[in-house]
Amino acid sequence: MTRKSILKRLGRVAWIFLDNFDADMIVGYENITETNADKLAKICMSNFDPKFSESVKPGDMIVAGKNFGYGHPHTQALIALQKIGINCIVAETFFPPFFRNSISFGIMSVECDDITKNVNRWDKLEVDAESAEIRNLNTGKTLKAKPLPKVVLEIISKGGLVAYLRDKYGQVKMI
Amino acid sequence: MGQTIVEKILSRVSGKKVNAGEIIYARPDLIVMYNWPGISDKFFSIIKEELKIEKLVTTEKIIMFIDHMVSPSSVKDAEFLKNTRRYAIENGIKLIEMQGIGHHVIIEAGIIKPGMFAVHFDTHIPTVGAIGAFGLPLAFDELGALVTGEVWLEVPHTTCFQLNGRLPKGVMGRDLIHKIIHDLGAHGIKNNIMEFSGPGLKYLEIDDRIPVGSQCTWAGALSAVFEVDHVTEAFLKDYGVGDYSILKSDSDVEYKEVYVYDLSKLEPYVIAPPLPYKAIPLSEVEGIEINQGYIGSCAGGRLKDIEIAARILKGRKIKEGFRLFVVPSTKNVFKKSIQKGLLDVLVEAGAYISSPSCDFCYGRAQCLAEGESAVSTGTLNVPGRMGSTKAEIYLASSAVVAATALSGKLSDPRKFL
Repeated sequence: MTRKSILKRLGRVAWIFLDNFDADMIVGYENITETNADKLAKICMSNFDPKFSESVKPGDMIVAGKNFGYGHPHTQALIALQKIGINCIVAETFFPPFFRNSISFGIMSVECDDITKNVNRWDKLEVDAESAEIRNLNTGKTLKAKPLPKVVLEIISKGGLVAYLRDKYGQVKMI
Repeated sequence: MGQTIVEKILSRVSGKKVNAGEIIYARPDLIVMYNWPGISDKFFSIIKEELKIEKLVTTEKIIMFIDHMVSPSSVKDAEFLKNTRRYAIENGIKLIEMQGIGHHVIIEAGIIKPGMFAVHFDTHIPTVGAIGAFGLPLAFDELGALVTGEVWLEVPHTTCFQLNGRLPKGVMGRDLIHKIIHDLGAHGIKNNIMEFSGPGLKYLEIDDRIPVGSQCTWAGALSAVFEVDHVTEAFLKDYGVGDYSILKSDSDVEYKEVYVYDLSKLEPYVIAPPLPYKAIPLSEVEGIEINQGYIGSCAGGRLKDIEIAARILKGRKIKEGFRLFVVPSTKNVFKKSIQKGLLDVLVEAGAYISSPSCDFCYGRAQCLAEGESAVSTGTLNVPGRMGSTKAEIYLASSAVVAATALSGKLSDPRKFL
C-alpha cells in the first residue's frame, strides 16, 4: 500500500458516539484490564449493540462528538476496535491522551467540527487525512477536517508509533 | 506578541520563541513513569526487543517510580516489581520507591521545579502545575519521548483563571476544581492550559493547588499551571528546593478566555457517580448513605488534607461499620503527620492509616462490594474504579470525606469546624 492510499480511507460509519464519551465503555469497565484481543473484539460495544462485532466490516469507522475518549487512556477499546477492523475515528474533538494513544496504534484519528450533524449510522465516508477532507458518499457533502501535523501523518502511514520508531530510530546503538 | 507561562516553558525546550497554535517538537526536562503492567514493561520490551536500542539517549531524564502495587499481593506482582527494578538497574535509570506518589515526590524532592517541562504516560501529571511546572500527559506516546527525547505538540492556548478572595473554612482547592467542572463542563477548557493567578492566589496553599492540577483534565484541560508566588516559594524552601526560574505571563497575552472566581463564595462541590464531570453542590446529595471513605491519591493525601481530617475527627468517633482509609501521599507528609500528632487523632477516631501508595485509588488496596458506595479524594469515579462496577463513588474534598465518616452519610464539613 502506498502512503497516499494509507492516508485515504473509505468505510461505513459503524457507530456515532455522543460528546465526552469514555472509551472504556466500548469494552465495559469490567474489562479494562483484559489483554486478549480476541476476547476484547467479542465484547466490543456489546453493551450498546450485541451484534456490533459481526455487523462491522474491516475498514469501517466510528464517528464521535466532542472530547472523544474522555477518561483514563486505557488501550483496551483501541485493541478491540482494531481487532474488528476499525482503523479510523472522526471526532469533533479528542481527549488529548486518547488522541495520542489512537495515533500510536496507527488509527487514523481526525477532528472535524460538525461531523455528528452530517452523518448517519452506516453512511459511507471517505476520509483523506492528507488533504484534511471528509466526504460523505451518501449525501455528497464534503467537510473540512483539522489538518494533522506532518509527524502524525507519518506515524499513521507507518502503521503506528512502534513501526515509526523502528523505521527511524530502531536497531541503532545509541550512546 | 506576549507569551504565557507555558509558551515560555515551551520556547525554552524547543529552542525558539513559540506561540499557541504552532506545531513544535519540545524536549522534556523529565520523562516520568511508574510501574504499570502493559505500559512500563511493554515500553521496556519494545525498546529492547523490537527497536533493539541498547541505551536510550534520554536515560538521564527518566525517573521511574514504584508507587503502584507498593505491597505486592501475589507472586506475579512481586515478579513484576523485581523485573521493574532489574530493568532500571541494568539500564542506569533512576528508580524511586517507598517514598510516595511520584507526582508529589518529584515536587518535594526538587526533581521538578517551577518552569520545568515533564511528561508522563499518566493523566494526572498536571499535578506539577501546582508549583508552576508544565506536566503533559502522553499516554502510550511516552514511548516516543523515551526513544527520541522529543515530543510533538500543538502549542496550547491558555484559559486564565483570576482568583480573588479566600476559601471559607471547610472549603478546599478540591472544591474549586469541582466548581469549575460544574460551571464549564467536561470539555469546558477545550484542551487549553488552565492558568491560575490573581490576588486570591496568596491564600491558596500548594496543598490546595495540587488537586486542581491533578484533576484539571476532567475539565477538558490539556494541563494546568499556577503562577509562582510567595506561597510556592515558601513551600519549596520548606523542602529545601531552590535555584529555579520564575516565569509569569506577559501583560499583553491574549488568553482564549478569562474567568474570575471569588474563592470566598465557594461551597463544597462533589463529583457524583458515574463519571468525573458530574459535579454538583454537596448540598444536593447531602445525607446519602456511604460505606467507605478514602483520603489520599495524587489529588489528596497532603498534609492539609490530614490536618483538616484530624480537626474534624478530633474527640469524635467514626460511625461503626464505616471504613475510613487515610493514606498520606508521601513519606514526608506521613512523617509530618506523625510529628504533629495528627495520626494519633485519626487512629483514635477509628481510621485505618497506611504508608504512601497509589493503590487505594483504584481498588487494589481497598475494594467496594456490589451495592456499596464510597466518598473519596481519589482521581476517578467511573464504575469499577474501586472494586465492583455496581458500586458508587463520590469524589470530594478530604474535609467532606472526614465529615461523612462520622455519620456514614454525605455531610457538610463546615458544621464540624
